[in-house]
Amino acid sequence: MKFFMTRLNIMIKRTLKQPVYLLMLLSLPVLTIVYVNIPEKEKSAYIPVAVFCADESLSSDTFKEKLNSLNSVFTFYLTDSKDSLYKELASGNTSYGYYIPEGFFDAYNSGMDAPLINIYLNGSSTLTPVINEIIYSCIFNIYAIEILKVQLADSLLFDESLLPSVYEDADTFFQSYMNSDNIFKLEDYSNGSYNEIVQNYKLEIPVAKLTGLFIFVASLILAGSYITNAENGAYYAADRKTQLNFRIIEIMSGVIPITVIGMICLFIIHENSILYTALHTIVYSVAVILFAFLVSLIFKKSTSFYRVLPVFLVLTVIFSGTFFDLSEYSQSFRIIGRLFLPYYF
Amino acid sequence: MKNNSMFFRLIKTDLRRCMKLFPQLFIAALLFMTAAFFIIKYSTEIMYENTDFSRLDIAIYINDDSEYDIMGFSLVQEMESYQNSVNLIMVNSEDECLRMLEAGNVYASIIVPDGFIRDFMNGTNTPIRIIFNRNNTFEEYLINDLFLYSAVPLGTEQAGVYTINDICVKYNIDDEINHSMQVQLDTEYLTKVLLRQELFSTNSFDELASHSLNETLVSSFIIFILFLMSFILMQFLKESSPSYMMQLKLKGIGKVRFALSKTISVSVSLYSVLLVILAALSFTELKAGFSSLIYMIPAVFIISCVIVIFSLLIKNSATANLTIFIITAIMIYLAGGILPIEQLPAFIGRIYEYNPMTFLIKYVSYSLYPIG
Repeated sequence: MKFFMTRLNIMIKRTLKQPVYLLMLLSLPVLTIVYVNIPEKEKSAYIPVAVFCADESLSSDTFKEKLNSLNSVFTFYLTDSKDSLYKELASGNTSYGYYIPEGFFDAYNSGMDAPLINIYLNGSSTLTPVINEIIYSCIFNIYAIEILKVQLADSLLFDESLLPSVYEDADTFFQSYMNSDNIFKLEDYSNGSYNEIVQNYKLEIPVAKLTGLFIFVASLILAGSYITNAENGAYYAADRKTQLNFRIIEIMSGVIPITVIGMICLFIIHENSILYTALHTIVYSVAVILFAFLVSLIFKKSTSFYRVLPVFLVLTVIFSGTFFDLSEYSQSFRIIGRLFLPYYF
Repeated sequence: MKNNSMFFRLIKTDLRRCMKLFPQLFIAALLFMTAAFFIIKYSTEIMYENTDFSRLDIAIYINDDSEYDIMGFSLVQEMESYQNSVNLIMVNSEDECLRMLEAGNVYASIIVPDGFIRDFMNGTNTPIRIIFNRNNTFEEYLINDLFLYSAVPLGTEQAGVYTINDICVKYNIDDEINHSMQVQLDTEYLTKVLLRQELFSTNSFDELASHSLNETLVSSFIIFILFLMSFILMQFLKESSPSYMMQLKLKGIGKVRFALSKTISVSVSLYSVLLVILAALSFTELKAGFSSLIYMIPAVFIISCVIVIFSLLIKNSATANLTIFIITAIMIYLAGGILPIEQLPAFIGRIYEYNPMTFLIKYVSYSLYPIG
């Protein structure tokens, strides 16, 4: 036991001199301090919707005015080209892009088949039917008066010379009804107070997930270090039992410091109770040590180990949930994720 | 002549040496492809938000069970905007409606007065009561917008019909003609409103770009995987000892021909890896065109040249591999190969235009997925 502890002490000191290891060890407290000191921010929960109107008729100007004056939980803004529309979507500034093609209003207002309004999304959404209702309310407002004029003209009840004054009367009557309480209207519950919808959020730094990942990476690095030393004959003179001890000592020398620092960081963050955090971390570390121990038994040659290591680490990063939200994955991929130990931390 | 035959012999020898690495190359390529597959499959979800809201519960009480009101309720229920956004729960009394709202079981309560549809058709606008809990939540505002804007066409229709009536009255048009014009206009309006959701066509934003996000990612990952094959090919590139080089020089094979021979062998190896990748892609919706087998040859040759140059410039194999890995990763990132360039800081946009990797990714994208 004394030999074990002495050797462990020496190996920990040696491990702490490695730059990559020190970087992992120091990044956890730094991230913890940053996380704790970041204030909560308020974010207005409005949803931006980009619109590009390629139609250049008078009706499209009216449409743009109506769009800009809308009061909705969605904020509509116009882009000046299809390319800009794409950039807004690609950059993630908005999840919704509407493209109104050229000739839309002339065709729609005359009652003919109009070219479709294209909706471009960069993710899935169930809100587009609601946005469609809002946009359509603007379109219908324009259509209603225009088709009325078409009907008046087609009725042949008025001389051509009289039509302009008939149209003017139609505009006047229509607008007056739209502004009056004589037509059906619902009361606006929001009263323009959409800016009251705020969400409090804090910048997410996955300290817990990074701790789990670093413990795992450290164990594999030290397992690789043992394999290299064994290949170079460092433990040649030792008996089998001593070699096994050295194997475990070397792996533990990498896991223990990160486990201790990680635990302290998690206590500071207060994600869970101290007892739960301590037990959870210790059990995880033991599992990781055992895993690294098995890996070091399987790989006899360091060249084979270091060829497989990058691929394994990339897959671990993907499936650990550190940088990617595991809930986005399908059930089958989440099952595959369970093959990687950091998934459980 | 003799030099040329020596050169061709060198190429053959190098190719034979390279072939011994094929099994390792294939295994490594398959493992990297597996990692790349997950990232590409979930790329859109990872990079962009999904705003899938579950349907919001709303209680509704219809005071009168006349066929008009029930028909009106069914019409509303069948509207796509309502089907996707809300779940209308019919209740038996106004008190139950209000109780559900107070208990927080629903986001809003609608109370439809007696004879609402009948009155509406007669031009009487009996108000519907929509009651919220006033918790100021996003969901309440969303429901408010849905009701408010889906009801706008109803009022607009009325305004249109009243306008026709006023025009006819002003210009002394016969009552029968007035009435028929109102009916005709109303029919036009109703047809348009009922078919309004068909006016919209939903597409992925990728259709605005020359290549979709996934196609660009496939191109970037193919380039990255081919560069990463240097981890295995480096042992082949570094196995020539100084005495071997001296012998080659005596036989008329200088550094340039030596490097060319290595490049050709590496190109053949990388092309074989590419064939494996394209074969795997052929089972997915991202399968490449047949012409890519030809168009990809220059791209593979360029990548091979770069790997060989690094192997000649950097003595240590591990350092050469690490350098290739880091430079490739950074350049692909700065070329918008991982995240769309629009998501990166503005100053990177200036680097993007001059980054050679930008052109390589575009070339590979057009080779794999020709447009038109």
